[in-house]
Amino acid sequence: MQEPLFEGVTLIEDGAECSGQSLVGCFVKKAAVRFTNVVVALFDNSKESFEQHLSSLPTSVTVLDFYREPLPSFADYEAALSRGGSLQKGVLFIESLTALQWVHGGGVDRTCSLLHHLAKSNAVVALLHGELLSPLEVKRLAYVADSYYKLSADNETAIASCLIRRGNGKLVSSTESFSVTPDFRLIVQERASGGKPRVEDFIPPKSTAAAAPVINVPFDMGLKLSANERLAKQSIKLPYTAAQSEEGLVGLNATGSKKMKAGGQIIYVPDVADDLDDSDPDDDLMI
Amino acid sequence: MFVELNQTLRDGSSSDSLSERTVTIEDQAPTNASFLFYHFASLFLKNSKGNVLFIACDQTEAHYTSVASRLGLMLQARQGQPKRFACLELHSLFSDAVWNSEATALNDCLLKEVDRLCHSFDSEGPLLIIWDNAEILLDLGASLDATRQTLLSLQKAVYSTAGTLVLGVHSSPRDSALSAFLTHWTDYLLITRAIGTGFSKDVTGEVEIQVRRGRTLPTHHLLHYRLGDRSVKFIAPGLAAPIM
Repeated sequence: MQEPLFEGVTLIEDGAECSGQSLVGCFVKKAAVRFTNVVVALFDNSKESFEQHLSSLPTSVTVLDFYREPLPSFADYEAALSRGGSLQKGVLFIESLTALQWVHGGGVDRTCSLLHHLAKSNAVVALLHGELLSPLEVKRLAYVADSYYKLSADNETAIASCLIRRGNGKLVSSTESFSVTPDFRLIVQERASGGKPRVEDFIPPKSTAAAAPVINVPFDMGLKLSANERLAKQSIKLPYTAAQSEEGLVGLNATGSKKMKAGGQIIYVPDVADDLDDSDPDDDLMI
Repeated sequence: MFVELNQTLRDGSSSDSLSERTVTIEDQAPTNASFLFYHFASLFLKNSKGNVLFIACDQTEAHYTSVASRLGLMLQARQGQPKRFACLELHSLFSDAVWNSEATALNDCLLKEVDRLCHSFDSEGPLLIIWDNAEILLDLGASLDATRQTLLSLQKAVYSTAGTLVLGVHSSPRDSALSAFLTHWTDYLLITRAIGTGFSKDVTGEVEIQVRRGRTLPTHHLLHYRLGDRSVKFIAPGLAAPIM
């Protein structure tokens, strides 16, 4: 699965057979590590329920609890989300984009423009329940998104189809099966290869102290050298170090039949049959 | 009431699995899933010592009370016993609201009445709200958002007492946006449907139980059931005795 870029708008479309709540939980935990300002707007679940689902809420996460304090109109939500997400560069999670659509005065047009507006100051990640909208509405929202994850189920396996639009216009797509462990690690396996599952460890080790220290061990262990001997040993130039330098390569005539020794350098000697023109060898592929 | 159903709902967890849970019961024609409402009412009245509020829409209070008594469940408190059951008949509530020309919306009217009834119980305890047709507000012209907000308000009222919300719907998620929303929102989804040919005559229908809470992929369980005159029997698929 393509790692979330946390740039622009990211949409996750789930269905009745495959819920996206756990994947959102993974992304929240990852964003909490990378960003200092993470805001989660809850619509269908309370803050307590969300905390219970994540087992513990990272300290950098702020919750906008619209479940307990719903707002009367779409304009109020627009204002509240803009306020909540514009403090610093961060990530804004919208738990249910469908709930926003249903609000009085909402709709696809206003939701799309709201997503655009919010994405100017923050990365926006929103969960969308596909069955609750018409296929046309889903397509329009997908068109707005910079990254789009569509979740489905096949034979008791959760499948994620990702489509990511890079800044240079390149589209990256992949389809992989995934599962989420209770501690919100994402285990991903490529669908086509059926290879070994890999763990997308979104959460780095807690501290650098826990990592194994790199020890600079000298090569004279156990030799019991005196100071002079150590100095003499350090001043010796090993044979391969001279070969690695490019001395002797200047003025080398490679066309002759005489054998050459040029250390570790690779020297290409053109053959008579070689066609060394400057044109692109792949220009006939019509790419 | 139904041990097999309880075991499936618990799904491996030893704790009281119905505290702060939302259950949706969907009955597909021609089945009627109202026997499951009695099961949840019995759990709260007999085991949990909680209070039950029934929001009746498809049938009257008298109907539900009499059927429950045939299943051995006394909904109404006898003399001297604390009041732990209340029923709100929506058709009378809404007709009163229309006749009185009240300007408030139907969902506000419903929530006010629910709040009043919740405070009328004699004892405190976990609250079970059973609504036999959660789609009625939509049918009466309320918007999807207003209906959703009403359901969220009922859930908040129930969860504040560590209780359970049980909602009945008659349409499948393919037919109704509200039903699709409930599929995503609820912790358990129980679907009753008729079975095909080739099964024992002893089987009335099947119940599919989906445990959805906090899971990427919901777990599915299937039970067959037989409705008797005064009982409901659950059978594992394939274990019904053939009638020769």
